[in-house]
Amino acid sequence: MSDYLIECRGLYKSYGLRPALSGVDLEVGPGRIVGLLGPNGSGKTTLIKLLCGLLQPTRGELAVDGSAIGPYTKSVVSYLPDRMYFADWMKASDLFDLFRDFYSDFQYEKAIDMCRSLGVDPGDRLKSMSKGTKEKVQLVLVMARNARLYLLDEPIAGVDPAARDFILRTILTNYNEEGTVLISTHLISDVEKVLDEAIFLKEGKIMLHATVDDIREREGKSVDALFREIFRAMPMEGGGF
Amino acid sequence: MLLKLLKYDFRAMWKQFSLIWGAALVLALINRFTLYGRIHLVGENASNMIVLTFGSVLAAMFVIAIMFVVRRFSKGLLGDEGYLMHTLPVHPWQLVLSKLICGVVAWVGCGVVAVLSPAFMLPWNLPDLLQISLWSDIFRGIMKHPDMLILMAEFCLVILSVIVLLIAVIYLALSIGHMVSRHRNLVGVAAFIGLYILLVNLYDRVFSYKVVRPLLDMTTANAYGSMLTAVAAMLIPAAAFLAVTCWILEHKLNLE
Repeated sequence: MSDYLIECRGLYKSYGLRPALSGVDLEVGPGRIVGLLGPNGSGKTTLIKLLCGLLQPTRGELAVDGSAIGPYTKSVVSYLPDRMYFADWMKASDLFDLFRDFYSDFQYEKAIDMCRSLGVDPGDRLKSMSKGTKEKVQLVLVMARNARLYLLDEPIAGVDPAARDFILRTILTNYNEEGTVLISTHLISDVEKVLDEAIFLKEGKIMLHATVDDIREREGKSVDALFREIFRAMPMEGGGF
Repeated sequence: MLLKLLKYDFRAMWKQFSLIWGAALVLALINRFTLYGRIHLVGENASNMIVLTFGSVLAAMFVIAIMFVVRRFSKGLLGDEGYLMHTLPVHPWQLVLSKLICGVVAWVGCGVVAVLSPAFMLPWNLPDLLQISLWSDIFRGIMKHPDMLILMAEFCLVILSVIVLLIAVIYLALSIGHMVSRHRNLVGVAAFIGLYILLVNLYDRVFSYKVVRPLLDMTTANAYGSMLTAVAAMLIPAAAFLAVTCWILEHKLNLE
């Protein structure tokens, strides 16, 4: 078994002729909280979807916990997508039943407790829930698992700063500490304080992969400041971008 | 895992069909009393309206059945719900098989309701129906001609094979549509028409009388063989279409 939880070798993914990832080589070990950082369209979601098996690579190799993407890797990955994925006719408790049936690491009682602490009634139909409540249910489903790898795609995008803190706290207090959490975001300042490592993605390529401590020591600035420096949009002459 | 998938697919099916199946059967019962009752409960116009409503419910049931198969696959596996289904620790063939079994059961259920509901409308005398002698006579009658039972079973197999083939064509057409980045629905419809033309040509050339005749001779010289040959002729392409569908889901899945 590999020492790394995530391994990518020459990973390439294109949508038609447009490359989304270009030759990504990446290794991430267990027990880390890793920020997958980059502006919109940099390939963050593509990389996460490849790790989940929702997309197939155009070429290159990809492994999670030493195995090619398949039923085993899906059993150890807990994925929070950037959209709602459940059928409206279900109740939150139906989804918990489904997860208990399919994932041996799903903790049903923990999910119920998390729901209570988040003010969600598991007996309510998803159809009757607000968007924010549905997002909470989805977060509960992901964090009530004792997974090896958590893939969180933009978990704090589109919510107010107070809700961001709330979501991050929920993640930090519930994840399996022996596993790895990969959080994709472009809101660096909000997540920086919880990260062990940062991966900067730009136009489908890894610009930087280092520990947060290394970045601060080597660059003498925060991850957020470095991100702004690397990804600063250069205004064109005449004032346009 | 397949049983667990079936559990959730059947629950979705029941949510979709319980109301319309119930409505069809209840309307059939109402028709039974408005059409054949000794006391005229409603006027002729109202009675006609109820018959019309019953017919509309039956028609709607079959439209819903087709939409159910299309939507459970396109939305459930190739749409947003696919984010959940494809991250479950199962093989793509298990996802497809579960949807297929559920689709077949839904269509068979609609067929059963479509046959049962007119039977409900007939002016049966309930005490007569509850007599054991009636059923024992029917049973004895059937047992005198066991060949009929075999023929009926084979006929049911033919119906099931037609349903499986049709659903397999729908699944493959949707999967082909999924492989392009734009106008997926349009490409799906074009693929369905293309597959239909392919099947017609296939049956015309490969399963021509010259080929089928020796097959019939090999099996039996009567109707049994012909029905089993028909089942094979439909299930073989259906299996090929389903295999290609699974391959697309495994190697070309693109939930952008």
